[in-house]
Amino acid sequence: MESIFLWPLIIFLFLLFVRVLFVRNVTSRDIFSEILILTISLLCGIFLGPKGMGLFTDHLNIQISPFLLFALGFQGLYWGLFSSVRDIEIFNKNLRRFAALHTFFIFTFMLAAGFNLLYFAGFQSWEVLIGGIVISLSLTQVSSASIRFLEKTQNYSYSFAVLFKAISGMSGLLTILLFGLLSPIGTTASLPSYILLLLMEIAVSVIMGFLVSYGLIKLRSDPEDYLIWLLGVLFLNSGFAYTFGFNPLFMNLTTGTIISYRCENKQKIRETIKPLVRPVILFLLLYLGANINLHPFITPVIVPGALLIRYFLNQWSFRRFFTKAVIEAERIRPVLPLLMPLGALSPAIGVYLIMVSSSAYSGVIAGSLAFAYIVSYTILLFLMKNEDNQWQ
Amino acid sequence: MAIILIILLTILAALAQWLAVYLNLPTIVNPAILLGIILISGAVAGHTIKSKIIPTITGFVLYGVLIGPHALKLITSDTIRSLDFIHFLSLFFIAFLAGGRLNIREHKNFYSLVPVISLAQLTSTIILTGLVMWIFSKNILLRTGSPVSTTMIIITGLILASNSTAAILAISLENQPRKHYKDFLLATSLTTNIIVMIFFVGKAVLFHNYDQTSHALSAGSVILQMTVHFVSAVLTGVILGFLFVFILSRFRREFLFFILLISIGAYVTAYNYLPESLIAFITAGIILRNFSRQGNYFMKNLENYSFPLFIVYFTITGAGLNLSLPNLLIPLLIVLFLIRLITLSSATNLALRLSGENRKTATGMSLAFLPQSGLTVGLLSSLTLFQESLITRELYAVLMWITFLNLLVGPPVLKHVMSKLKTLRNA
Repeated sequence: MESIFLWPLIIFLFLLFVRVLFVRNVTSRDIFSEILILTISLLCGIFLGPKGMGLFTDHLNIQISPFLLFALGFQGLYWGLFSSVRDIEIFNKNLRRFAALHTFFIFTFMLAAGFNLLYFAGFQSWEVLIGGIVISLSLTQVSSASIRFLEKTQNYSYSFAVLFKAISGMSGLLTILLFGLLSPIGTTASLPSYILLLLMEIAVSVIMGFLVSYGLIKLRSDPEDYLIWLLGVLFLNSGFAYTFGFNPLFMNLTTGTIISYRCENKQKIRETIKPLVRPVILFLLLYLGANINLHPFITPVIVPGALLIRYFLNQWSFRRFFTKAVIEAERIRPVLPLLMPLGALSPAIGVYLIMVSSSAYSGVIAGSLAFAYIVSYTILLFLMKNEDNQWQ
Repeated sequence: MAIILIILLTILAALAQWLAVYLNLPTIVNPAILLGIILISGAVAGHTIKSKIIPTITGFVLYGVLIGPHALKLITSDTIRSLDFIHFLSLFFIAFLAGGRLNIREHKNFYSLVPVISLAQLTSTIILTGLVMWIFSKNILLRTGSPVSTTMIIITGLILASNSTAAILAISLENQPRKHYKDFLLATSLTTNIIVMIFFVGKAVLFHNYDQTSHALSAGSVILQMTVHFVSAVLTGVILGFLFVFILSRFRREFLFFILLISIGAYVTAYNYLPESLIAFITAGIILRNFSRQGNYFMKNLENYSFPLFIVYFTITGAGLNLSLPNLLIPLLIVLFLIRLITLSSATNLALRLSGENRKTATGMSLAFLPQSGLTVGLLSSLTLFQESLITRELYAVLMWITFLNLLVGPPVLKHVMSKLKTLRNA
């Protein structure tokens, strides 16, 4: 308990240091605001959790479990609503190919790096497998907030915005798909049961998608009715996922894709749930903070190590795969730092790990992911400052 | 087609429950699945039953009763407990919304009229209730045959005087009556409920110390405790309100997260202090509405997205009603139900006529306070935590049934009132 007041003090001093030295222009102010709100959520969770005031009891965990499942499923549904075939076809073939290549490249190398990091950090073989998958998936996705920051920089161009949109979208979609395919590895004992689980998962989410899209098509166009159907399907899918061992993100991604494909009024549907995006991310961080388990050696190794590897992999991927056929751009290097921030799936994957595994190391990995999420924005701030200095 | 799908979904879920019982498997439905069923099915039930007379919330309540422990048993007592936080959250959100609808500067003319109506409702209800209970007391209410205590009369009168602010909010969303009347009904409902809640602060310390079996504290101590609790609740609400004003100005996109965070804090720390927490959230809503430039616009936006909360709130309230009642108590039930109807409507009508309101408007608005819901059930439940001398099982059953009847009858009457008020001119 005594260390709980030390943590906010250290973080406050660090934020003050960052604010004074690195926040100079509009872009860096936006990034700093993002870091601040994410840190507040995480700290609130730490403060309320067992390591702080101890308000997060087993009883409360049971009571807020529907919200937790909702928050997990929401990420999948939101991506699904933006991932119909028509949404993907907006990007040209070269851009799609590059985004997919970049994502797979990052994922495979992060998987290898994650396995090695966890092995040398002393994890057991099963924990290395699950933890490695979790870390690599979390560190693959690029944050869509990068587009918002890009708009405020002097390097902004429409082509770059499309590039980032494609990378962010594709990385998110592929991350959830891979997550859905790989997560049953931890819960099934044999290949037939793995295939059966996957098929059941897809079947339930497809049926729910058709049911809800039928309801949405027949309704009058009031936002409150869309909200009810979407909230209802989220709770149902996530509840089934928890009960039968499915993956809530993958289930809701499938349902969301079907809704996006079948409904003509999908723009209104997307607008309806947009206000929930930020609260959901912060709630996931709050829960991670409440269940955080930091290791004095493992956490300082995983977080910087993984982010450093991600930084170099981004540079390497662009050098290897990016051509002018993707987008017409003279200099791509100045905007590469914007690939640094982790996507909103990172806290979601961390929370999923805590929910399916009660081992102490799952708390360590999940806590590391929460810190990595915030630190990635901080690193962005440093990199942007570096670019500004070079520009000057 | 939608209603058939929903009926099928509900029947399938109920069958699964029966099968689980038959096969000796765990029967608690995952709360998330249950919430999903409640949201979709409740909404469809509400829209199906909705007509010119019947509002959607009646559908929610009936659906809750249908899937509750007395019918299909899809929601059992254990399940209701697992949805405790969600019910708590929806209640406080509604209290926050209700407070957020009150513009203090715009409705200065309410300051004198609203408290008069509230006090008239309370006084007349308590007096007539006392009379009825004195007549019915022997052999019906108390098995020992001893006379009814003043405490019990006051408790019953207060419970009967309470009404449903949530119903007024929900139906005004649906009907969109003239703003003046909507705000007036809301202000009166809130004032009455706050006065009722004052008597229950400090874990009902007032009643607990003045029943026949214990006088542990002096009158001064009791009043001091009540004052401290009430003032603390208001101060907490003020602090919360200004915190919300700050959050709205700086973190508007993240506002819902902070509401959830504070609700979690309130649930964990102040769960046993339901009246105080409600007063705090109402106050916070008033502060946000009146001291933030974006408050009005934000509250209207929030109101537009509050429909799912009403579904959950009224469905769980309907499911949570314990409706077992011995036949012996039916006459008392009918009389108390009618007494409530007469006292509330007469007191309101008289006060409005004396203030200069025309006859048609006064008659219409006098019937607007019939609905009762979760607040009444919450206050009743808090009393059952104490010795039975505060409230007997028989009286509890009668009051629960009255709440249920008012939940069924009240909203259609309120909807009718609001439709009439649309066509009347302001006084």
